[in-house]
Amino acid sequence: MTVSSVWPGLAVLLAVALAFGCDDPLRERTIVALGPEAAGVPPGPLHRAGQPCVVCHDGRSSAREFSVAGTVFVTADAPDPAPGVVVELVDADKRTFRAATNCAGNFFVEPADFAPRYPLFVALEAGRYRIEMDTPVQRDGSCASCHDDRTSRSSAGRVYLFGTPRPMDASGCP
Amino acid sequence: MTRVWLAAGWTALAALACSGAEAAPQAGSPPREGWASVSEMLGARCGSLDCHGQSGRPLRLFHNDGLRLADDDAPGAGATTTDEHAANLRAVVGLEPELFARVVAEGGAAPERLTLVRKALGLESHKGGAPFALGTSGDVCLRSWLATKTDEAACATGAQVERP
Repeated sequence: MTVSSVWPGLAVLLAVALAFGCDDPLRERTIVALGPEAAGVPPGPLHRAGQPCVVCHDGRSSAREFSVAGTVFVTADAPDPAPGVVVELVDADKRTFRAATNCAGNFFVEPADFAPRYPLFVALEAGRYRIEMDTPVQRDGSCASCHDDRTSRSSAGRVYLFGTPRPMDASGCP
Repeated sequence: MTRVWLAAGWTALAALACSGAEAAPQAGSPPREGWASVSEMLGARCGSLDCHGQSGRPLRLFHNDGLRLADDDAPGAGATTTDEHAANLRAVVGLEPELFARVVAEGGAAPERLTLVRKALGLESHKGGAPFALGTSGDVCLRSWLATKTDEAACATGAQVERP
């Protein structure tokens, strides 16, 4: 192994350490595993759709802190975002908060607006259509921690709105 | 030739050890009758994918709505399997085996000796808070099982996580 072959990996680790601090190697590895930003999508509200948001947005870095955040897709089978979906959150104290998804299907909630006491019950609404999550969230504000893009024995698959594809109103989206 | 006999011996030993672990009753554990209802309650209350339904979590729990044991099963599909219930039993008993045996041998007296019970009741620091409070159906279910008189009705009620 040469110095030149090691350098790119070291550079990524150094960048992560500078951006997010050096206190938690597990967290740093998790962030590195998320990979780089997608081409043409700068860091911001539309970035990293489908990834576990609160890994970085946890109040321990310069990224805005989120209490709950995630991405809603039209169906489970394709990475098509569902814009304009209302995400209803009801916590153990029966407090309700509603957030809306943006053009990437992303939604995010800041702790100043709503810091839920778990368990947290989730429902999605698009017009008169409503779908409720069967089980409550118990502790992790990132939807994608349990809803990876592939269904497996440890993932319920994408957060999705419909069982079959339907057109979504994406007016105003780039 | 010696190698062949050694290999055969190790294989036989491994097979006996594995089958013994599956089949033999665990010392000090309550009878398996009623365990499935306790396992369902623990899975529903504690075994979500972001809590004890994570592979790396101490006290790993399997449940049909959480982590699955078989690679071809998925959360939310089908029922919790007998293998998953058996794995949950090993996880629960294996936390503090000697202490567990003592609590069961004493008819379930002072179950707060067990970390499992203290965490569930919120008597000890627990990231997930108190999933069931003293006297609730989940608590009654767990205590009755430790006393080898599983209250399956309480377990069934405890397994229902109602939306507010």
